[in-house]
Amino acid sequence: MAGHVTDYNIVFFPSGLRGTFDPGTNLFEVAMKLGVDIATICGGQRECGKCKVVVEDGLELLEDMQPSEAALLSDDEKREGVRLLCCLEMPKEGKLVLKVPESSRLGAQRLQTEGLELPEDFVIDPAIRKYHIVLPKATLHDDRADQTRLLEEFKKEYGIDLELPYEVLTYLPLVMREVGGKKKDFDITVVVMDGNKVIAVEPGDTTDRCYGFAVDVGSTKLAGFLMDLNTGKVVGVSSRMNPQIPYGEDVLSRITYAKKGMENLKTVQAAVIGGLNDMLDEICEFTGIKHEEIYETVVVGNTAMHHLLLGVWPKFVTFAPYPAAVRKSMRAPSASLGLKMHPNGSTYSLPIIRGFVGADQIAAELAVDFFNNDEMILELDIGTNTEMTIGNKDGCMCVSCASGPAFEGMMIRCGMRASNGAVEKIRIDPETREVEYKLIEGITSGAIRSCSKFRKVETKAIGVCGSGLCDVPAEFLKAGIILPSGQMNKELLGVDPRMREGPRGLEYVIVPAEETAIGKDIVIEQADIRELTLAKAAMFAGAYLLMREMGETVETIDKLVIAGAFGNFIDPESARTMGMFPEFPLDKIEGIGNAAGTGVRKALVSRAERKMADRFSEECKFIEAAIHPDYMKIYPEAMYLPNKNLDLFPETAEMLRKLGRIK
Amino acid sequence: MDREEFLNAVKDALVVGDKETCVNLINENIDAGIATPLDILRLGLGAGMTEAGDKYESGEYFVPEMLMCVDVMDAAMEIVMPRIKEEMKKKGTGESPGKVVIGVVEGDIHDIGKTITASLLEAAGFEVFDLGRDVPAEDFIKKAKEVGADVIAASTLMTPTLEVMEELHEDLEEEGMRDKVKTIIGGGATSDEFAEEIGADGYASDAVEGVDAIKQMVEEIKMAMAELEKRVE
Repeated sequence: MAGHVTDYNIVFFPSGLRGTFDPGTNLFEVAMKLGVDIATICGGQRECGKCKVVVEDGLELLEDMQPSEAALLSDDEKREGVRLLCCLEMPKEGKLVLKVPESSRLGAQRLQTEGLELPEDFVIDPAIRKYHIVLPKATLHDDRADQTRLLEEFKKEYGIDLELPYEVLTYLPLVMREVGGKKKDFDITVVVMDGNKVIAVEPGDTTDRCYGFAVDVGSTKLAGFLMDLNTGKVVGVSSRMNPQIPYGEDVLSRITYAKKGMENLKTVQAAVIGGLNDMLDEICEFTGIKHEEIYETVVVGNTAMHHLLLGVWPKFVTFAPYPAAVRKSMRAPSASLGLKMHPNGSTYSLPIIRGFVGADQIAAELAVDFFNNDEMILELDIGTNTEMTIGNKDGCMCVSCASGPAFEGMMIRCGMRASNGAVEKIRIDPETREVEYKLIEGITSGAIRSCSKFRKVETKAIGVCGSGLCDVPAEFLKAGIILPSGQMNKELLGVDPRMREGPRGLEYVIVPAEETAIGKDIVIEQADIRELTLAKAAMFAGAYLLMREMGETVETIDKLVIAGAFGNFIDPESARTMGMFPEFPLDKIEGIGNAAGTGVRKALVSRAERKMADRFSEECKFIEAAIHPDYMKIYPEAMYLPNKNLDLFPETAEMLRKLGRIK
Repeated sequence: MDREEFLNAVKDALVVGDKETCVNLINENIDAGIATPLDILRLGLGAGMTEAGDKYESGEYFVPEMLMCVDVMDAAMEIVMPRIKEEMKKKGTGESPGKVVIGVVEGDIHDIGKTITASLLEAAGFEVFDLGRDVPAEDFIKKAKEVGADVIAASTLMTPTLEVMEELHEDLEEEGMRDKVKTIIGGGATSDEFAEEIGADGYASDAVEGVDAIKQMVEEIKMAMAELEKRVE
């Protein structure tokens, strides 16, 4: 929902993280404070030379290089404008634009990489299959054309009538004779898509090398999984920030940029394709798999990301009634997208449901497997836009609500992304208000790149990430730091030194300056609580309306599953106490991590799953929360903690009553 | 109950969002003539909305409390407004501080902020023409012409719909209306700089600020008119 980006005097690419800092502030500290993904061994002590950046703009504003910095850089690097963050300070005036090269990044955001295996009974049935065949060599007695020879022999061997396209026919004769020839039979492998369409022929038997790429294109993060299409196993993982971020932090401003003209749309499309190609390069380098051995990519993303990736004109998605341009699943030649894979490979995108319920939600529905389930399940995918689906094998219904980016740490004074130094858990003693917190530390992109060479740096707090922010309203409420109305409890002023008058109203210190890496208290202020309650109220209203429209209650629903980047990390009890959703028994709540990732991996290796996805797109009913006649009653009531209508929260109310927080 | 007690009770009921009490109070007393309908609007309901606005600014109230006050306001206005109009008819001209056409621009459906602003304006005595949400630029202009509005107030939460605000200003220019009506924009996606960029007369970050800004605009219009009249004389 963000509008104009407020003023800033430093920005880091490709993350797009930016901020305003006082002259003289060390740039390494600035990067830490902003949560920029930057490599370091020495922790900013000018020893390791890891925190290299390229100064794209503002080089003349910086002080000249000192010998200590020069010693850590090569002559080439100096020429290219590379500097070390830890050796630089914010200039007196002007704006710095810094690029963090891939080599300086840890890729250290927490990416859910475990649990990537498909269920044991999952049937592997990919769209791409390789068939090995030996064709009798051409002789005077058997002078069939190469084309005829392949078609006839293949039919004999596999019972399939192949479609041999022009592109393959042009080089078929050469491939046929690469292994074999005048004296030996022709030995080839045929790569077939969707049952009978040939996309390539290769010399010899290459059947054991058949790969596909499953991608979840998030507006913040890209997650890619290279899979062996024969086994359904994940062989490589890579993730990075979405390189489109510099063109707009949220999807709306990104579309606002793209819709200015075809040129802009192409730029934004090229940015994400470039990111995917970097990931492919990384995985290929690590696994030894060649780009040409990857025949299909399956992508999911919200509707905006979907349109921007495929280069579909995105403007009208952002105007009520938010119509998508393309709904059905579709296939685009990877060559025209510019993806580095087999030149005749293609990219398949799952269908979407509505302007604000995209292919990522379809993938989440695949992950939950609604249509094969007797159990009634409510699934929440928490993000800037929160999508939810409720249903079972008899049908399902979804809703989208504009919850805003608060739980992603945006719009929150001390909010940050889930990387090292983020407070990820907060516990406050309801009586003494003693604060305990837990930090994210030692995350590396462990999936494929070992970072053991890095000496462990002692982690100190930098800010609070989504799962930590999720604890805030609940813990504050229980400890009486905020009132059920969401208002800071001013009675604590002068009683508890952590409660104080800040620049923007009352604020409460959760981590004192001496325990942080930024040298400032980490606080939660009144405006932060308001942002969080607005977000959770939108989610509650969506869930409540969805349940009611479907005729279900917390009793009749068997399971509440929470997906999304921090689905596995948030504390379900905290979420429930603040009233993010109706009061489910805790044992019915389950985190499922990156459900879109799971769904897209299923779709890559199973045509049945793709059919299911098309069915979801056709059959899943949709309600728009913001225009529902009861929304204006439910939404404001849900801005209270846990809710104005305490009848909906009997257990939480009882707990708060015992603590003396409500009457 | 004397006049002051009555008006205070109306005000207090509105501030705490007690619709039943507020409506009953007005129904029971309006015909007894304890206070005129205009007084009830200004010194009861209007004072109540002002107090609620103050509480909002200080952080004590938030969106739900404001919406509750709006709800009470709406219910009370249904009783009071027809009588005020009647009174005005009898007296000839009514003196409203100004006319405001308000709405959420085309392409956006998020209207909570707009609704609170409209109610606060009403409470401040303005004649408010609320066009609702998803309002095309031409509808704003048509209505403004029709009622002779002093101010057009446009809101949007979403970034993409900002361009409709730009359109609105371009269309006003084309219609030769730009110097006849003041404009103000607000809502999550808007900003001071954007207002300047598209040539809006004002920007407000929330409902309370919006009402203050509109009051000032209308004040300026009146002063300019007075100035003009003087010169003509």
